Amino acid sequence: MNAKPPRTHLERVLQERRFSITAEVGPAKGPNLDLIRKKSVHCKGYVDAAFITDNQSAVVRMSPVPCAMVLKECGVEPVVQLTCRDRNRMALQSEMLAMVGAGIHNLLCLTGDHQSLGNHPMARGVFDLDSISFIGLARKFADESRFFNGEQFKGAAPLFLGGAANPFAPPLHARVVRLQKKIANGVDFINTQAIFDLPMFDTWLEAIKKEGLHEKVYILAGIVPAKSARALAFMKESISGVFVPDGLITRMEQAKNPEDEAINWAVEMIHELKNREGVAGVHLMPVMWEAAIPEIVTRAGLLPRPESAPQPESVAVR
Amino acid sequence: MGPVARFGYKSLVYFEKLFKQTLFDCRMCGACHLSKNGMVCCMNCPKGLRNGPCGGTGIDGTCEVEGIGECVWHKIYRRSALLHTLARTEKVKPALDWSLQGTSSYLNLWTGRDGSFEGRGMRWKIKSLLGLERSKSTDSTGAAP
Repeated sequence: MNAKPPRTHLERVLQERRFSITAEVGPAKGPNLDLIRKKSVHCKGYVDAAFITDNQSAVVRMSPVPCAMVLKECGVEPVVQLTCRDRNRMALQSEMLAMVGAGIHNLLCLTGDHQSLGNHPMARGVFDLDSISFIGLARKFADESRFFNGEQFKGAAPLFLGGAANPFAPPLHARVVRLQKKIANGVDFINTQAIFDLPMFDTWLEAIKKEGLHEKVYILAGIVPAKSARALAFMKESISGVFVPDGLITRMEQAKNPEDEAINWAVEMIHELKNREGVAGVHLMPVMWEAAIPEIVTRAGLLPRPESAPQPESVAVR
Repeated sequence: MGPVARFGYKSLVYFEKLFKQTLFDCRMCGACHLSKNGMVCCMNCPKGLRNGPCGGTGIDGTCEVEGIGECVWHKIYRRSALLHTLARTEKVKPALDWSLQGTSSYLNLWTGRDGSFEGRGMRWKIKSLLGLERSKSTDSTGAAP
């Protein structure tokens, strides 16, 4: 995974084995692009890339590509997330063309939470592709300039492709096989689901290492700093695929200053994860609390972040 | 739902599927429009249109999609004319609630889960016709299967 020249700043950071730090930025639940500009302040200079979510938790929000364009203008490297829940393969490709046309080359391919979990349970789920087939087709789209039907298009669309993995969802065997399939289809990096339970994460990591998969993809470990014990309890109840141990909720309940405690916990987690072989970086997903990012990154001693080099001409011109 | 109720519900769905799939190519959308559409299932339209034909219908009434033949809505109007139910096709139909797919449309009609009788369902209608329904009653929540 080191052979090719980096397509994006994020890839360069990961190739150079700098422990990367990324964050999630949620678009507004309304016609408000300024929210992205506001949130970019908390990211600029503190993270290597910010991920723009696509109707996260199946709740309608602004489309990710325009938000990523604004984020790029603000000087933060964007990663676009696209889900198969809301778009069929035609819509996915038009979004991909739009993002590449706007000079954005990081893409995270997801299946997406089921629509019944969000605010439009009456909607028809698309699920034309699943994340694994999406990654495979996106790889050909990026490397061979081929649409998903095999037809060639003019120009190049280099993409640094990501996928997701949930280390906590049973059975463990299936998680390893799914990751292998994503790698076979050409994924470059993997975002994990929010990690609260380190021993459980280690079990997964060991299983991954046994197959040597950590050498084939960059694994970005997900961390969710939650403002309060209530927020944690809410996540435990209503976010699919997240497992929160009761011990952490108790710790937050007993803390005098829960926000400070949450940042402490996140910093502890970063130090723990940094020491693990196979973890290439951490991905912060503060729920409606982007303001915590600078504090966490500073306290974790991860500053200064690598300077973003001017885009290689081969990419910029195309 | 308890095991007995679950068995009863599954049996209902099974027989509804058997009956309507055999006779009407039913797609089990869970919000049945057969009686409003001259006993032709509108979900057989390749676009699943519930309010009338699209602009792609050929001059001879064929569907723009190959292999379909006669436009489903062309057939709906033809059959509705035969059954003298054309007026029923003229009402604006709301967007389909896709979470109903695979559920029993009979029960949804009864409870109002499909939005029938302003979401109060057939049971309310029958009660009110019999004069059993109090005017203030807000029995609108359908028993979710």
